[in-house]
Amino acid sequence: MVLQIIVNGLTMGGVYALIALGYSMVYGSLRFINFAHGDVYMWGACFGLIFARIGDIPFPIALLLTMICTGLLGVAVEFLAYRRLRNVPRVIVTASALGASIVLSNLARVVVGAETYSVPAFFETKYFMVGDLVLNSLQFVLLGCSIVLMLFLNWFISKSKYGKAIRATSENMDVTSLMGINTNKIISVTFFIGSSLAGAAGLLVGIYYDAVYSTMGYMAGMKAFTAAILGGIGSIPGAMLGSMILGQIESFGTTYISSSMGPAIAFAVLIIVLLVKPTGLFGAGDAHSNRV
Amino acid sequence: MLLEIDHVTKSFGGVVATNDVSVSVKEGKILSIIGPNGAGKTTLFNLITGAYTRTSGSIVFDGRKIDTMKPYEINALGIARTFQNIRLFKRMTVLENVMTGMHSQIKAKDIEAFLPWRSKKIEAEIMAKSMEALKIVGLDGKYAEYGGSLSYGQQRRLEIARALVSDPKLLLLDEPAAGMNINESAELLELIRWINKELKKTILFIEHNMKVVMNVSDYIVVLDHGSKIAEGTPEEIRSNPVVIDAYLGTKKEGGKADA
Amino acid sequence: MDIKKILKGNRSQFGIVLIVAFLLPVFVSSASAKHIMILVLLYIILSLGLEVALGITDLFSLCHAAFYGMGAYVSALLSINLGWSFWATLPVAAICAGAFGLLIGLPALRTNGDYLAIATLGFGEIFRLILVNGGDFTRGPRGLTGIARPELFGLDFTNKNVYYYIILAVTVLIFFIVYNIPRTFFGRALMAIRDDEDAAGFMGIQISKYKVSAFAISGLIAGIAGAFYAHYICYISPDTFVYNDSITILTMVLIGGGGTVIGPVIGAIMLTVLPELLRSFVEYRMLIYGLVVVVMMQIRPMGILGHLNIRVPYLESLRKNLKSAGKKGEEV
Repeated sequence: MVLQIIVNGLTMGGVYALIALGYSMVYGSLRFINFAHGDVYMWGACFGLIFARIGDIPFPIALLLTMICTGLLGVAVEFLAYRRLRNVPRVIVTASALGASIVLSNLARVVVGAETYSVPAFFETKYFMVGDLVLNSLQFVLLGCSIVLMLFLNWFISKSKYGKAIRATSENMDVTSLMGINTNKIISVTFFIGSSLAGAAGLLVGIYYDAVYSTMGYMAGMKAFTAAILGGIGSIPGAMLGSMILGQIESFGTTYISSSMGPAIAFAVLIIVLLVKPTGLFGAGDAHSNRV
Repeated sequence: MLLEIDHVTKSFGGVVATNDVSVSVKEGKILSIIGPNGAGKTTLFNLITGAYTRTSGSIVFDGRKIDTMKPYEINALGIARTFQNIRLFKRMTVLENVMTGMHSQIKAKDIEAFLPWRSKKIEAEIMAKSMEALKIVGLDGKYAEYGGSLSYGQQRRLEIARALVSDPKLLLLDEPAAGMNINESAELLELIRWINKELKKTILFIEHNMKVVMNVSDYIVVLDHGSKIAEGTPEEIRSNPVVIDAYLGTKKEGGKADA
Repeated sequence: MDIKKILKGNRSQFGIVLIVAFLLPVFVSSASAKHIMILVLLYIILSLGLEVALGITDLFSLCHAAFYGMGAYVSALLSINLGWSFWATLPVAAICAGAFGLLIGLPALRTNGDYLAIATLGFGEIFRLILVNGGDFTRGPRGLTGIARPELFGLDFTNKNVYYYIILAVTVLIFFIVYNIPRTFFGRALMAIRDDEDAAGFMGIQISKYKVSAFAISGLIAGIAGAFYAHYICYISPDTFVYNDSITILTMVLIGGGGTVIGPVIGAIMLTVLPELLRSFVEYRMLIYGLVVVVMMQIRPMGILGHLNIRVPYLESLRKNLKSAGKKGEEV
C-alpha cells in the first residue's frame, strides 16, 4: 500500500518536475515568474489531443512533435510578451505574463473548445502486478519519459555549449553578452527547452488522465511552481528535488487526509516555504528578488 | 565625544570587513575617513547607521549604545547620511526627496496624515524646512524637478539637503565629491565648512579627493583592509609613511594627491 | 503628450468629472448599463485600494480579491445571521478586511517582489479554500443567498440609481482620501519604500510599520467594496472572489498607471467597460482582454498616465503658500 502511494507520488513528481524546470530556468535567467508557463503545459496536452485525433501517429513522434510545438510556443511568448520588458520593474513583466496566460488559455478554449476532452489512445494500456503493486503502462511511460527528459536536461545544462551559455546568462546577463554571447538567442533556447518539457508533461498527463481542458494549466502550474520554490527557484536540481518531494507529500496527503486536499496541500507547502525559507532547499533564489 | 566607535569588528562569514576599529568623533569637528578602495570605509558607515550589526565592539552616540538599533531609530537620534552610489528617490521630485528626509522629525502620528486640517499644517511645516535645506545647497530653484534631470553634482548636493533637513547632530557623507569637477568640489568644500561652522554640525565623511580632505578636515582616520592604520591631523597624515605606503600602487604619490 | 497636461488634477477637472458622473444615470436608461456603471464604481474602489499597496508602495499583492471577499462575507454573514443593518456591517466588514490585510502584511515583511506575489497568491487561495470548506459557517460552495438590501431613510434600493449614487458618494470619498495620501508624509514614506527601501530606512522610516499599514489600508478599502457588493447582488459565493479578479484589478492599476491614483481609476473604467463592449464577441472577450493587457505592457509599461508629474501642482501650491505665509510654522 505504502509502496503504491510512493509510486504514485513519483509519477506526479515527475510531471511536476518537467513543468517546474521551466519556471526555474526562466526565473534564473530573467528573474521573474512566467505565469504563462502553466498554459504552455496545457497547450502540450492540446497538441497531444490534436495529434491523437489525426491518428496513426506513433507515440514517440507525437511526443516529439508536441515538444517542438510547445517549445516554439514558449519562444513566441517570450518574444512577444517579455523581450521588450527586460529592464522594467518586475511587476510589469509579471502582468504581461498574466495577460499572456489569459491569452493562451482562452486561445485554447476558442481553438479546441470549452469542454473536457478525451484523448484517443496512442497505445493500449496494460496493467501489471508487482507484488502488491498495481502499475499500468501509462505510469511507466509517464515516469520513464520524465526521467529520460530530466537526465537529458541535466546533461544538456552541465555539458553542452548551450547549457554553459544558459548558466552564464542566468549568472549575469550583461557580462555574458559583453563576452560576445547572443543572450537573446540563449533566452530563446531557455524558453524552448522549458516549454517543450512542460509540453511533454501536458501530453503525458492528458493521456494519463484521459482529460484535456483549457484551464488545466492553472492548478498544475501552481503546484509545479510550488515545487520549484520548494527546491529553490532558479536551481535546476532544486526544481527536480522539490517536485519529487511535493509529489510524495501530495500522494500521502490525498491518501491519508482527503482526496480533495491536493490544492490545499500545495498552497500550504508554498506558504510554509515562503515563511520559513523562501530561498528554498537549494537556496538559489534571492528572497529580496527586486533588489538591484 | 559625540560618537565613539570602540574596537568594532565586523565579519561576514569568513571575511573580516572591519577589524578592531576605534574612532572617536568630537562634537563640532570634521573628521574624514580615507583609505584605498575596499578598505571598509562604507562598511563603517553602514555599521554606524545600523545597516550592519557589528560582530564585536560597541558604538556609542551621544551617550547611547546604538549598535543594536535599526536604521530608522538611529536616524531619529540624529545621524543622517548620504550614499556613495547616489540613492535618490527616483519617482519623487527634488522637494519630496528632501521632505522625506525629515520623516524622523515628524512628531505627528500617522493617522494625522488622514485628517486634512492636521495634514495641511504638517505639510506646510515640512515644506518650509525642506526649502531651507534646498536653499543651503542652492537647489531651491529646482524643487519641482526630478532627480534624473539634475547633474551629478546637483544630485549629490540634493542628497546632502535630504540629510540636513532632519537637523541631525552628526552628518555622514559618503564620497560627497565623487564625480565632481574642480569648481564643484571647491563649492562643496565651502558647503561642508559652512554646514560645520554655521549650523554647528559634526561631520564625518569618506573621500578620495585629497584636496577636499586636506583642506576641510580637522582630523583624519586612515583605513586599509578593514583596519585603522593611522590617524591624526592633515599635516600628520600627509607625511605619514604608513599612509603613503598603503596608497602606493594607485596614482597617488607622497600623500599629496589630487583625485 | 497632451493627456499629461490635461490630467494634472486641478479642481475644475475633478468638478467636471463629478458632474458627468452625477448626470450619467439621467442619460442612461437600460438596467444592464446601470449595472455596469455600479460595477465600474466598485472596481474603481478596488483599484484605489490596490493602488495604495501596489502603486504607491510597490507591494506585489495578488490577494486583493480575498480582501474584497472578506468584506463581502463578513457583511453578508452579519446581515444574515444577526440581522444587522447593512450600515452597521459596513465598518465591521471594512475593519475585518483591513485586519486581514494586516495579517498578510506581517509575513510579507519577509519577502519581496515575486516572492511576495506568490505568498499573497497563496493566502488568497487559502482564503478561498476556507470559504469553500467552511461548512455551515460560510455555507461552502453554495454561497450565501438572500442578503438583504440596505435601508436608508426609506430609499428604494430596488432602484439601481439609488445604489449608484450612494456608491458614487463612497467612491468619491475614497478617491480623495487615496489621492491625498502621496501628498502627505505618510504617503512619502510609502513611496520612499517603493523607490529605495534601504535608503528609506536611513531616512527614519520604519519600513515594517508602513508596509503593514499599506496592506491594511488596501484591505480595508477592498472590504468596503465587498460589503457593498454583497448587498447589491445579494448573492455571494467563493467563486465570486477568485485569483482571476485579483489579476483583473492588478491590470487595472498597471494599465492606468501605478502611483498616480488617477491612473487606476481610468484603468478600472477601461477594463470594466471593455469586456462589456465586447459582449457580442462573448467567445473572444477574455482573449481580447488578455491581448490588451499584453499589448499595453509592451507599448506603455508605466501605464496610460505613466510617470505623470502628478504632484508638481501640489508642490507648487505649497510653495505659493509658503511665500505668502512667510511666518514660522508651528512645531509639527
